Amino acid sequence: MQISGIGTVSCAGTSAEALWKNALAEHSGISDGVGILSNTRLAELRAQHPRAAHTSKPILFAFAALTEAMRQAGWDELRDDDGLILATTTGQIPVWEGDMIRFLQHKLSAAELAHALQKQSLGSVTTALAQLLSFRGRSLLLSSACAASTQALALGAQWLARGKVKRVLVGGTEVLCNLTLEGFRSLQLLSPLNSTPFDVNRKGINLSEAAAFICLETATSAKVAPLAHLTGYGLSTDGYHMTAPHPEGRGIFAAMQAALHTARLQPDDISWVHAHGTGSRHNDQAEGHAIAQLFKEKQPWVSSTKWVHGHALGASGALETALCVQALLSQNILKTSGLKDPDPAIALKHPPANAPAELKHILKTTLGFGGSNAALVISKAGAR
Amino acid sequence: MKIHVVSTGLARDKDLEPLKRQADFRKATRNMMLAWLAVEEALAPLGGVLPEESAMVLGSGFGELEVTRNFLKGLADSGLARPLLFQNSLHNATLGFLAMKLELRGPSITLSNRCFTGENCLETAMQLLEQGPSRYCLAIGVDTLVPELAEALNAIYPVPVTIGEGAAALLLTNDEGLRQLTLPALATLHDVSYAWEDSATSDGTTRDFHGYYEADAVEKLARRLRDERSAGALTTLKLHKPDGTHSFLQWSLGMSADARIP
Repeated sequence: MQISGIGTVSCAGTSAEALWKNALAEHSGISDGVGILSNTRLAELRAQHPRAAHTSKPILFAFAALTEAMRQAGWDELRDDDGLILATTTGQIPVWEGDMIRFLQHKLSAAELAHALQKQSLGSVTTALAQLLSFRGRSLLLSSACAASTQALALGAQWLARGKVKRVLVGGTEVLCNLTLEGFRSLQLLSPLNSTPFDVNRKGINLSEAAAFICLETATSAKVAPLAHLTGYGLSTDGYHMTAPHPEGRGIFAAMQAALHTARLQPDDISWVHAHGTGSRHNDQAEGHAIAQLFKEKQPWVSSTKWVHGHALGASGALETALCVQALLSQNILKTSGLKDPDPAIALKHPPANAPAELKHILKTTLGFGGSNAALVISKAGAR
Repeated sequence: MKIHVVSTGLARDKDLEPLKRQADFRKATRNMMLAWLAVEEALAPLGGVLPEESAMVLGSGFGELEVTRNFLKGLADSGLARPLLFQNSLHNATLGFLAMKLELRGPSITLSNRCFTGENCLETAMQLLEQGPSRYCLAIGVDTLVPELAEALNAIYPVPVTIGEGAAALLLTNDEGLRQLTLPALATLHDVSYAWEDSATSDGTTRDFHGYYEADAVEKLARRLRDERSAGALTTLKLHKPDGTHSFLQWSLGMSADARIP
């Protein structure tokens, strides 16, 4: 499936180009352990997108990112025979969680709460974006934790393959809220400093907010040359623990195998694994083990870019897929910024620097709470 | 490739109390328990077991709203965030729980899309089976009622609604999966489609949305499959939604009612 456009909004830049430049230059958007857009950047986004200026932050982010992606793809509009697949874990929760608390404290009536609760259903994000795009076609919203937007890209590819839609706009949007920040803190998973994935001294993850969208279509409908191709995908479940991955990465191993299978590739064909690499003890150990098992002695480069943009949860897969597309276009690999002392228990081949590299096929992995796993193969245009 | 319904399961309120006393449900949410009851019934004809590569798709409009409410209440009252409530507040927590209970390793997809939640669940399950490699897929629709929030939730739609709760599960399979079963198909599921209407009551009728929940299309289909009598006929069910949308579910029954598994 052809990738014709990418668009991103993140703490490391409010466009895909800005994100890529910051990743290459090792400029992190993380501050005090979290990646939140500054009020200045937020005001700029509202000014740039007046149609979405009065919507909630997750919808504004999504609209900005999908506008960038559609412009690059030459899509003037989303037609009714196109598709829209979104991913998020908390949707518009910042809009309603405060009202919920006030209601529970008897400071707000049920009628007043109703207005806020309209935004509780995650599908309210789809509805709002569909209205902004005047879109009445096939839509879907996935909420499979951190694997959500990677799953969304896999299902988007299936929609195209089955002829259910002509083109499909796929992405994720995530903003931070009390529930997410305090919840992760209660699980003792947060790092107060920039995360250092795969480092022996890693302290945890950096939560961040972001939106990222990808325009997927077949070559026959495309108006522009492909940026890259989505050639493989695999989905799996651990069935092991609610918040920790299987210690040997059993689930993500199966997802990577399935992605290679659908791409009709062998492990040797992969040039780079863009890992989930959150910087948490359990994730990096499990994912590293699975990658090492899959590639054995012929490991490709493996790195995580979470130090740059943080962990955008349900939007992370789409955000990092956008980085993979840019890596393929520029033939540059990104190292794991922040990695100083690789964990000896995780036997991976870490790129020493952000540097030119011959990249044909990139394997993108994500692992999520609830044991959800997803992997994609993103291939250079013309690589097959 | 055809997609077949092997069996159906419906959660019943009366079965919840005994479940709450079981050790392996002590950390389970109401969503998880309702979904489990539906799945347990759907899998009964297969002895409660599926191949580990089987898929699951779960649709829930409001997700773990009750747990989210409890988490936020605790945070507001005492400043304490409870990790168990947080992990259970995620929309996909129910599938994570079911995957552990059923020891399933195939794809698990949780989705939520307002009044099309149940329809999205059914069509995504069909798609996973059409695409493979999974040969079996549980399609589960679940939503739970939070009584304290019912009045507010009743007011979020443009037409009068009484929010309810429920859970239903369909075990779906493709041609290859059906060949490996000793059971006949209950029905063949042909199509799931959905569309916007110009208004919530476009044909002038006031619809009754009593006990409505956003993932209820799965239950509506399960109930119709149980009630349907004539085999072979193509049946189309139009479901009107309180937000002014509607959907169509289309199936043909695989066997007469008398030949079915109880």
